[in-house]
Amino acid sequence: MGDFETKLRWLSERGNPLGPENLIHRIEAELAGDHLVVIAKRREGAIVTKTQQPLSTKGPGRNRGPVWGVAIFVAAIAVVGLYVAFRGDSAPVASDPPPTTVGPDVRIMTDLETIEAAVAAFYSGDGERAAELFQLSNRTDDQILEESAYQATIGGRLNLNCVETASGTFSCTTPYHNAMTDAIGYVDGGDFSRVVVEDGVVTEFAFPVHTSMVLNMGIFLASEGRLEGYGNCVVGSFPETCATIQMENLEAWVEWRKSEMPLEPADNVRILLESWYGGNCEAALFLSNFGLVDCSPSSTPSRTVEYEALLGAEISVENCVGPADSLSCEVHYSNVMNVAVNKPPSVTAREFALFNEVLVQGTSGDAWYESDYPEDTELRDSFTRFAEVSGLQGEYGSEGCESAHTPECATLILDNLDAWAAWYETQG
Amino acid sequence: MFWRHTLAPVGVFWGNDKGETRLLKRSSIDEVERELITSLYPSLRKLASVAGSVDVEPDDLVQEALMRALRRGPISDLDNPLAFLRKTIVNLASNQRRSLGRRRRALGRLALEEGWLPSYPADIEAILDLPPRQRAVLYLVEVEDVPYAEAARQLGMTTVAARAMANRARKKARAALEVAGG
Repeated sequence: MGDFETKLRWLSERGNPLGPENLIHRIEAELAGDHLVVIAKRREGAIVTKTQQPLSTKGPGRNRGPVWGVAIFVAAIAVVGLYVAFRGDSAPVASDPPPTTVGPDVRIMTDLETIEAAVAAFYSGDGERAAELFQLSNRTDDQILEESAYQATIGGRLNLNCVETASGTFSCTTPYHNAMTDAIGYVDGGDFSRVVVEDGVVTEFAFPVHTSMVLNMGIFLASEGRLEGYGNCVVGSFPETCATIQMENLEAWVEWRKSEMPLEPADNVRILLESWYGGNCEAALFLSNFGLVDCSPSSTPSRTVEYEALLGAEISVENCVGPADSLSCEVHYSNVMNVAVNKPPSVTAREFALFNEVLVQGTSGDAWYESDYPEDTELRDSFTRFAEVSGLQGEYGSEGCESAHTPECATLILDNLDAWAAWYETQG
Repeated sequence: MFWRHTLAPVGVFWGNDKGETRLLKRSSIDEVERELITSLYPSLRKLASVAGSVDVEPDDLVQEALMRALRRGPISDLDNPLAFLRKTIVNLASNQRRSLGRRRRALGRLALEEGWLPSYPADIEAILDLPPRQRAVLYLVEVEDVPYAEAARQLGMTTVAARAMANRARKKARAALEVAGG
């Protein structure tokens, strides 16, 4: 098939058509057994259709006496409802577009209407319509589709207030609310942002995100040890799965905030290190790298975290002092080696820098684990010496275990733990 | 005050004098509507075949669109029944595509493992990967030779948007075909 017309024509003929008579028969059967349909005015002025369950699923041939009794009862309730509704003044119901989507106007839309239609489609989950109307350099159609589904699930709402500053260019305030802001009673004042409309599509638009809020949810999930799947939910565009996680944890997050907020910078360091040394790479990197995580099995962070988990590392963060951009803490560290030789945790004094008072990094802007790595260096150096004198040097050296923290090194230590402990005791 | 009257030719309608709320019950289709549906059916079915997902029967889409129209009142009362029904079909197809997307992805993975994934020629797959609205615009302008302005009117969008959508659809389909062709 060489051209679009042929392919489309082929598609348009697919299947076995029912034919109009059969279709009408089916429609009549559905109408006969069908629903009481209440079309009610929606608050925003559009119409919404609420279809009650069919009174019978057996079709028109069934004895429907009792069913009609129910119908009359339902109708009576509706009539009472209507009476109450009609006592007040109400605007006429919108009558044009079908209630399947955010209906675009048939007439040519003004630029402002284009923005409003794009925003309405995006936040109502009509991603395809939004993808038509948003033609942005920083979002692909697929991202628009994905994020629109996210917004629909999280109940995203944007209250646009735009002023046209030049032809097709607007200055808009974009207060944004969703289920998370609702849950904690946060009222967004909205930032100003530039919006541009060209040739009937929006070409410049900034989707507002409450980054600190989604990050806060991540800190909560990390502190609970169940951040899985949330690792990439801080920086847009957001997949719908992020909203699912947020909705599922909404109540627990609100409760956690009541008891734990405001978090001190030291709390973030503690949660981060507990995640890292507790074997949760994704949570640890979420709190240190703004959600841009690489915890693939071969990554250095993943292998280091596995090393610590294999050795049963335990840490505590104590006596933190100083400002968030230069926070000095004592990190108390121990693992099975400490237990084997009955040695108390080592204490490493080191500084952390918290970006935006949340994300934990090293003071020079590098990853916090790249220098002054908290561990018991005395015991580790001891094992290196033990390896030299006990014939392990080849294996130990070839794995680079003098400096590397890898699962292979941890396994080597565990396999020789008793021998090393006995040797350690003899060293005085 | 509310009142009640019979909605010609069938059905029962309650509402206020502004038509804000109504409770509707219909049980049959009159001759005028029957003829209208019969005349519109071929073009509606074709559009549903193009815009709908391959795992949705085109006739189901047409039926649902007609049901939605009938619930509003007589189809013959609509200003442009064909445009209304076409727009509704495309909206329904878009909504179904969204709701089916996740299930289809899961089924697709399973199908790949089991080896029963339905297959189409690569050029048809490239068309099927396009969103329903893009397919609909392409179909109307390429097959039915509907001018962009009219296609836009029927699908509820601006002419500029219809042109942009058709161009994007062609571009995406061609890119997909190039990938498929190596």
